[in-house]
Amino acid sequence: MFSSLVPVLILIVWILRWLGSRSGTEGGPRPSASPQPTRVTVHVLPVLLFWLPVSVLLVDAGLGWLEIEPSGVYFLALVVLFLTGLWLPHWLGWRVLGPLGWRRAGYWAVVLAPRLSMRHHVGSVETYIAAFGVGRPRPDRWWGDAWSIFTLAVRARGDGAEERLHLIAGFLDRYPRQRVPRRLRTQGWELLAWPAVDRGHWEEAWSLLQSGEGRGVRFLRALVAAGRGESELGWSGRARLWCLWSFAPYRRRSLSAVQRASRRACGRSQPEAVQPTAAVEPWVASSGTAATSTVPIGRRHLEALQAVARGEVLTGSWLVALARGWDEVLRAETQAEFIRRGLELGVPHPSQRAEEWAAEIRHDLDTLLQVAIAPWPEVVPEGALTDYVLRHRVDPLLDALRPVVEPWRIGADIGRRAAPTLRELEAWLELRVAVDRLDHLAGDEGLATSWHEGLRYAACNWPVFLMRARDDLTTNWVCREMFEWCAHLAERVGDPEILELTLGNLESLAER
Amino acid sequence: MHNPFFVLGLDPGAGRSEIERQGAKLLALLAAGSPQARRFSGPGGNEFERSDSSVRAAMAELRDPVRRLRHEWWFGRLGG
Repeated sequence: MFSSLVPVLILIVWILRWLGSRSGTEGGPRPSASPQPTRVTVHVLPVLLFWLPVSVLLVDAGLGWLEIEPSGVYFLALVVLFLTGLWLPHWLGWRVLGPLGWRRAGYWAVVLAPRLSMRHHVGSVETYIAAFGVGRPRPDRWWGDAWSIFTLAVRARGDGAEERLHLIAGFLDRYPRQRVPRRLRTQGWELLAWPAVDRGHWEEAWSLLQSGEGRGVRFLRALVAAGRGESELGWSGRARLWCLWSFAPYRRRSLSAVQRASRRACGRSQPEAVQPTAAVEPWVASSGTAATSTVPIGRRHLEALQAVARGEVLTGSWLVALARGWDEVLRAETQAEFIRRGLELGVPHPSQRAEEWAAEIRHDLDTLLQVAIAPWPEVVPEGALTDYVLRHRVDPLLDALRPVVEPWRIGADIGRRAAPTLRELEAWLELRVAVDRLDHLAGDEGLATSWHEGLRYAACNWPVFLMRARDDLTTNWVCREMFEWCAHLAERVGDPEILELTLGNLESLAER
Repeated sequence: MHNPFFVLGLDPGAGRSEIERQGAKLLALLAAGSPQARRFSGPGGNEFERSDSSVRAAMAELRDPVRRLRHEWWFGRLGG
């Protein structure tokens, strides 16, 4: 009887209303808000709206226990058909056609897929375009929600801009979970992590998989944990990995990786090569620290150049010690000895040769400067080369920052028209990546130099400019990120004026 | 390339004739297949391969006074 379904429908409506009221309390993008209601909704809704009607139809068709009238069957079939129509194009586009290489067909499936909100529709299409490289991106349609931030992350991944990707991933970690659509919480993180998994960069993949959820992310986490050698893959570990794989998407793509992990666990193949990690360890010379070394200076010099040619980095302390060593060698008495020997051998203009070779040493030190990272020693330069190294260590990094910082310092950027918020965010991220690099390579002193050369204006005024230009949820969220970074820098370099100003701006932002 | 003084097994004080004599001797030993002549000690005691062409290149480098001065200077800085 169709009337027998009425209590069930009433129950469904009541539960939906209850879930809606729970979700409605989520409010704005507060990181501390609980993601629980959304999770419950995600798990309960398919059961109520899809599997329950399907089960009722099957039971009625098979056993006839429920004795539903044909009109009731048609109604339930209509519900199932409607829901399938809602869900199927998304699944086809994102999980089947795109990954199988039928990107254009997948694009149209996503474009034509119904969405309850225009914002989600546009976000889904733009993220798909960035992920599968099909269609024309329309940055003017980026609404500034989680879809758009994921789009930025996928674009950074596509550009090979690892530092930018990890900064955006950091934002997404802090983004209120309940405001991130399920497609992104699952497949979004999978898309970001897969290239690292394919390359076997386990640490990078691991860091990108911490915030995701769903069967695909769970499987990737297990695979990456096995790759990192974090868990000994015993019988149960292998069974778990295979079990997760059997429920995960992209089974064909990941089959070989699972087989490799299993073979490694069984001892039938060699462990995978050690993967490069994000943080490069500085090169350690065979002679240890140059300052105390008895190894001849020329050998240390050549070893360092060879290490740099291999792609390694070295510490600023080591480089300064090398420069000091050369200053000792190139002192006046040695130069005089060199000139005397040149005259003995019949070398024309030996003093000129001495200058040429000193310039060669300086050129080599320039090469080493490009890869030297903090820590740098606190020393008073006692020779020309030490002075040269200490003065030139941050110059290229400061030069890289100048084009972005200068317009803020002279106030030119304050008068311009604000770009869309996410465009501003992307540009600001470039600044942040450059500053992080400066911090990594030159340490506190480099950071302080750049701060007082104009970074303080860019760091402080950029979010103020954006905040004045717009007042919406996304802009406020972006401004909060910018202000917090500015406050962190001001605290590190000891700039109480900017710190106080920024904390005041954060308070104003919270009141909006 | 390796420092010619290491390749020839000589000190920077070696005269022109001594360099030529040592080069000729090494070439003869290499032609005779002497295993000792096939290797030489570089900076830090590292062993390197010696060949006819490296011996000839080393001799040519030391015939030029400017390049010789440079190699002498580096020889001392490499711990020769």
